[in-house]
Amino acid sequence: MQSELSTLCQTPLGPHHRSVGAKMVPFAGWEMPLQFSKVKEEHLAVRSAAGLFDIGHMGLVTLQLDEASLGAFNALVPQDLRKLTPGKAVYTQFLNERGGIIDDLIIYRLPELSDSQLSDAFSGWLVICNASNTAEDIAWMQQHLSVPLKHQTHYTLFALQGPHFSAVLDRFGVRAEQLPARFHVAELSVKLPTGDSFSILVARTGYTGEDGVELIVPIAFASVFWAALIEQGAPLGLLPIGLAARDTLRLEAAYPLHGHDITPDYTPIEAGLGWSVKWAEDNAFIGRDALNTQKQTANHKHFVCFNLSGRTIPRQDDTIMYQGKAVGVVTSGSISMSLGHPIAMGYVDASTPHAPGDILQIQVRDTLAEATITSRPFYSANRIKG
Amino acid sequence: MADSHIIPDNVKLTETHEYLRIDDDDRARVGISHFAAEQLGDIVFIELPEVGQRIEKGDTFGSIESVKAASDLYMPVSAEVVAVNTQLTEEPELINDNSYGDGWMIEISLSNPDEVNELMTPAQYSQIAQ
Repeated sequence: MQSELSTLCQTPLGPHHRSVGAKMVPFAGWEMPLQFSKVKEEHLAVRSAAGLFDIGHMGLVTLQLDEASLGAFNALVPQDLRKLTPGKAVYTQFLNERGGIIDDLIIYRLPELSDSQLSDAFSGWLVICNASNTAEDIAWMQQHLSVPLKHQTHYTLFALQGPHFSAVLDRFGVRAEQLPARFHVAELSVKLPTGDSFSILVARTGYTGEDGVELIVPIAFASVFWAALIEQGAPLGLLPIGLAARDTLRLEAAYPLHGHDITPDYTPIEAGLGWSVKWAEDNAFIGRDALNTQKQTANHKHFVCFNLSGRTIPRQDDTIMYQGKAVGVVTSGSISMSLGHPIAMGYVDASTPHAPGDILQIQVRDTLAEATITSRPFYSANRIKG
Repeated sequence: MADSHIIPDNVKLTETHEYLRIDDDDRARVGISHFAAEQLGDIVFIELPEVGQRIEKGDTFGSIESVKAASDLYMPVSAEVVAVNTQLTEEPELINDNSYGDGWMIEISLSNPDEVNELMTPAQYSQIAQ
């Protein structure tokens, strides 16, 4: 195990996580904390108080775009980036010609920054990629764009999520009214208990179904800021959160995980992400024809969410059954820590019932478990609307 | 529990990571090793047999679900189930916390006590569990 871990990338917090006894695992080429305490405890802390995530494995890529190169960049995603004003972000995907999802991303149009170091790195546009796809995303952009890309490796990423996230930031001199609105990004100054202060980028985004932020932090301040967040957040119920709870949280929010729920074999239409596809006539993008055909014919797979009442937990690759026939496959399944029963997501064939309330079965090892389709998400917090 | 990974002396184990903790001559408790619980991660559900059921060595006596995986449980010896740890229904995490103690799963009456000799000693098991 040790030798396997030693070849992996580490976030700036790797030594810190190990020193507090986190269970470390390989994930997408990185050594990451799976859990710090118990998965359920971590999960419920995010739902009821706050959680701090090390997501330094995700890729931060910046680029400068003029009008012509913005057109070329916009053709890589089914969103319409041309409408994005500085300080705003969108959830989107890179698609192949078949409309299959190469990766899902958040793209930020950065605002003007005042901190000189931060603005050197973060001007123009920012793409946040999944760790496992960062290299492929960079290659894809390089293949289609003639502008230089910068992989920002002197900065790392934390997520601070949960109802008390803003109270935690308040202890660092960040007032609630300074926070960017949902799917916006802003530069904020953070004051440590020691009196030191530095600038970070704060994005009102996340992967938990809770309100919260993702923080772009200079690596020089990463360890001291992390430790201060844990210390200052503890009285508010904040816990450090590992990948295991990150997965159970995102599953309750019905957020897809690339490589599992979405892959180059599934399109945003099939994945229930059609809301993120913009069909304006002049919005030409790679994969548009394939998506358009699926939209017109409606002859495509459907991404569905299931509630189960028993104690059998469906897992990735389990077969979805209807009237004795295999009609689909599970892509994610777990117990819902908030709801107390098993939940799953997956795809069913075009002709299979897929409306909320429809009852299908999932073959879980030797058990045929009844699974009721439900609308997504499984769990939703009372979000502040941006 | 800090020493929950230490295998007690009166425990014998299987290659499938179940243990038999022998409390007197023909009574024993069955569970899974601390190593197995660590590998599975946080356990969230457990299915156990009914009291009175007779189960042959090697047959499944239940299953456990962790956050990340499911696993069947195999009888280390042929036996009759005389008690079930019902506390695990509410607190399956006891298996992670203290698998050889409060995390026991079933108590059994051995059909053929000689079968115990076919199981691994803690030292032998430690060779495969790392």
